[in-house]
Amino acid sequence: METAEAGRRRVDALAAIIVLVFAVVVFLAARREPPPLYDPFGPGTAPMAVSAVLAFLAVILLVRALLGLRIGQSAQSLILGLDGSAPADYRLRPDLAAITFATSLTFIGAMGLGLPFLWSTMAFLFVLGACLSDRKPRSLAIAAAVAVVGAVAVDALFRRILLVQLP
Amino acid sequence: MTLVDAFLHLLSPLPFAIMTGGVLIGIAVGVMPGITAGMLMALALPFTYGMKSVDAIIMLVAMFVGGVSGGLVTATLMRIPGEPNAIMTTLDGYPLAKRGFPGRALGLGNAASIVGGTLSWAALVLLTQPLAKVAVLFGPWENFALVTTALVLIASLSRGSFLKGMIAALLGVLLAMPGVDETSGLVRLTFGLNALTNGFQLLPVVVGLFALSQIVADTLHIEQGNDHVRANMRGIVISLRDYAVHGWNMLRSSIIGIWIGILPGVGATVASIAAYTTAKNVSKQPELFGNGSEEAIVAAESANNATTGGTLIPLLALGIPGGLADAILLAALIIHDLRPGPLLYSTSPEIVNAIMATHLAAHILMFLLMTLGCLLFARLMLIPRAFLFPIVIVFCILGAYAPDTQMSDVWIMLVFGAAGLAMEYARFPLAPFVVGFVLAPLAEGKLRSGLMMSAGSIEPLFTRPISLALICVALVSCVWSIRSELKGRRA
Repeated sequence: METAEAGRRRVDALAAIIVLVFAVVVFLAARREPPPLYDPFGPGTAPMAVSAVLAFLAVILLVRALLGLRIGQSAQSLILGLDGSAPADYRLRPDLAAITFATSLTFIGAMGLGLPFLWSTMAFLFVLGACLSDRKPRSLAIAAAVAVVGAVAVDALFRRILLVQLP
Repeated sequence: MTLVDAFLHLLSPLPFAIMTGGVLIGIAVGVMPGITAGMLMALALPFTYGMKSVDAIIMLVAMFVGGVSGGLVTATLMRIPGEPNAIMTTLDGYPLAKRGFPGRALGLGNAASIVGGTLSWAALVLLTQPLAKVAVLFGPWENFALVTTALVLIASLSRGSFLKGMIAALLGVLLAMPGVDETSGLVRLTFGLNALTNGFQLLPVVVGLFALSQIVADTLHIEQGNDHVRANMRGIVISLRDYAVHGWNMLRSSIIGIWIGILPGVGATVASIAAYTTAKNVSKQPELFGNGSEEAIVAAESANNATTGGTLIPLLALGIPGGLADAILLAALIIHDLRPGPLLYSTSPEIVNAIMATHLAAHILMFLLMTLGCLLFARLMLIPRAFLFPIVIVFCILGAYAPDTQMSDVWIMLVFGAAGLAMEYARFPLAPFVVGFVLAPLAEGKLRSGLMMSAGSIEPLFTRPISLALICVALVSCVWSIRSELKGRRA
């Protein structure tokens, strides 16, 4: 329990530092914006004011985290399944979450490099489907079928029906 | 177009097909664990580009209603809340289904949903226009004060840490600022990146935050078992006597749901918890709660559907979204060149009436579809997620890419997906973030208009009665939240 609390405080402190750095960077960038032309405010004033308040709040968060004072956590989640509780009847798979993110990154990178959408989608659907499945021959066959049908269907939907110019 | 015209419009073939499709897809998504209504609405936004504004709104509202309602099936038959707001239904729906009454559990939940939805529609129709008539008198200072107050309320009412809520809201505000400054026409905060010249577009941000991040989070739980109760239709249609027995509970829980729906940033999950707790406190058989209590199912389902109408009231009357679904509806209005807020009544009454008409019609349709097709919907629970998730990711990517055919938007979506995961992991609430992101341009624009009118003085903010009252509400909320946190014990 104590370790979990210490871990939570470390996460809070790290989050506070990231927010603080971000706020300082935006504040400095906003200071370089040109002076006001027509209105008394100018393009840089609002970002400067908001980033200053944000930096102030980040400092409070950092201090409270370092002093071990109560900070609280969002009790509402808009993303299910990230509450950190360990389920009793199955394993959490952070490795698969990382693979999902990494394959998505690779897929987007491949599209950015100009690989044809149809083929890169087919490869992505198969690789990720196979990774997320139990990788038995039947599952791999289903993953391959889903990859072919899915890629052709999505390509046709966006290219032919919605007339989107795909990479 | 009057409200009656809007209902008649819904009966014509295309709008009816769009609404039916929206409700069906919404229920299907609500049934499938891991895919939420918010995610569906975010992914559906790019498809609305080619649609008429009214039809786009009909589809999104229908998806919203269907999605909120579909979670009942998974909660009852699988003990997994298909939607976060179905979590309280899980506690009693599953035990009742396990005892051999799955149809009865689904029937009660479905009946409670239609009652909650209908009562919240009545509140939507009765409260929105009077509120909008007051709001239309607001000048820039009042509007700025209103947006500021809404952000503070969202940060303080989204339970947990006020400090984290405010940081999330301000992060959202700050990230809305890069790009062309609307007042001066100058480009700001781009850090030399051409991709930021137009700022962060709403669609990639929303899709990344709520769709991509949810799929990545879902893969953590990919090994979750599929232990489910076999559905049957016995008891799916409940009797008039059941309505009479549970009538007061439905009414009370619906009022709780409507009220909580109106409050910004609180949402259907809290409404169902509050209604469940209240029902347990006043019940003659509180020991049954958690063991298949009919009262519990009725309370939770009435309340979560009642929030759907409540949450639309501030959106339509004031242009202030109270949660994710409203923020996406707001985004849809902006994408279709409509200006959300009190003037929407006079500039685009067809949109307001379409939202209201669809809200009720979609609830009725949802009730019929859930009653007739629950066995079919229950089968959707069995779709292997390993093959579904990659397809959803492809839709996330195309959803971000398609509107402007820019790969930079896809990267932005990916970055915001990672940011959403990181924020949720660090327990920063996402609702204030997205509402801050959506409302920041409005707040800044109004503040600067006000400053131009007052030659640079912020005095009117404190001398005009409505803006002063709103600022006082924000300050009281701030002080109350800070005091509550300081009173908290040391960790």
